[in-house]
Amino acid sequence: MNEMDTLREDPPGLSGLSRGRILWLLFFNFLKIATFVLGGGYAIVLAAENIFIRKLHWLRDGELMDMLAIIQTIPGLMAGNAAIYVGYRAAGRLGALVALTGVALPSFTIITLISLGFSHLPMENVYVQGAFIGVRSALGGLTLAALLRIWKKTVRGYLGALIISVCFIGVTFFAVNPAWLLFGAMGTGIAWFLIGCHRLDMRNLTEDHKI
Amino acid sequence: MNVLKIFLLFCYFGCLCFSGGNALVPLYIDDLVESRHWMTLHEFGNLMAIAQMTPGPIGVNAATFFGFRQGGVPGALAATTGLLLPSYFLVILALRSLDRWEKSRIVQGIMSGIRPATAGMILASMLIFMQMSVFSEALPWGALLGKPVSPGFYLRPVAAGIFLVSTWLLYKGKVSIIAVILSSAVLGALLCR
Repeated sequence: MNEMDTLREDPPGLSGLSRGRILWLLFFNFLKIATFVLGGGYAIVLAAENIFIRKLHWLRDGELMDMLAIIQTIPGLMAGNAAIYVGYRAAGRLGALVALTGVALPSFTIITLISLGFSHLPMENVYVQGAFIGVRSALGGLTLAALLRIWKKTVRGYLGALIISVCFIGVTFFAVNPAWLLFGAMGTGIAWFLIGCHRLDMRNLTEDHKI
Repeated sequence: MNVLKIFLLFCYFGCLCFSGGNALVPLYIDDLVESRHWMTLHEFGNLMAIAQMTPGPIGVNAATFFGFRQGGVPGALAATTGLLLPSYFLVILALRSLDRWEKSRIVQGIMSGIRPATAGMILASMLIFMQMSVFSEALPWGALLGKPVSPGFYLRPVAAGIFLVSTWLLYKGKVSIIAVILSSAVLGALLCR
């Protein structure tokens, strides 16, 4: 636990960077993510992981799971919540604010320009459509890559396998509102712990805490 | 519609959208289309299509649109800020409590329930991306039950290639996601139909 705490205090990628530099990187990277990751949602969170955990090492290596858990249970857009999470971890409240500005700026600028009538969108253009297909394929790849990395840590144990299947099937085939599934999963998790069933899954949980 | 009112309304939306921006669509329809009559359902549909296809998260795009229609640039600013502000406080609060109560049984229980739920949702979202790129439309699950496959369903080989290569690159290497997206956009524009 001690080792983990020190890591959280001082993630490797942050040492040696000036505060101004950290704030700039937060702003600029979230600006890029918001601009190029079409659609938002989970893809935004995973793109933030790609940049801030895997490339810059600003967060602990296994922090993706904590990040996802918080981002999707707190009300708000995933893009915004991801920016606040990373920004706060890297540079406190100001960092969160700066990252959030980076996320909102592209939408704000582009939509305002469209609303003012400055640009019209060539949506029917065959090249534009093709580019969208290309980007969506890449975002599919981004999600699969992240899944492959977190799969072992989540699917192990009875509870994990059960919750994964229920959530996937519920969302895909029955269009259940994800919020209900998340609340259900939280409740089940709490009950699992209070009843003591988690001892069955102990191996799974200690691993979880190491990641 | 004054700016403060727009701001407060979107703060309210920001507090209610659980599990991301998709939860906003029914909220917007109920409130902005059906009770406030800011726009017709048809206009709303067009607006969401634009929000989806322009850079930026859909939720922020839509908020900026609504705000602009009601109050110009200040309205757009009020809506965007209003939507994002509640989560600013809530996420920071959650992070501080998580650090503090990390070892409590309730928090461990919550986390051990949410982690696999997340994986399930990500799997579902991967399928959604694929059904708009690698496959021309939703996967024909009905075929498993003996129903005929829709004639509009086909696989785009180039998109499938982009999907596999970017999975491999992002899983193995330290490639930047932005580089992957930009090159996929170029490849897609030239080769995907």
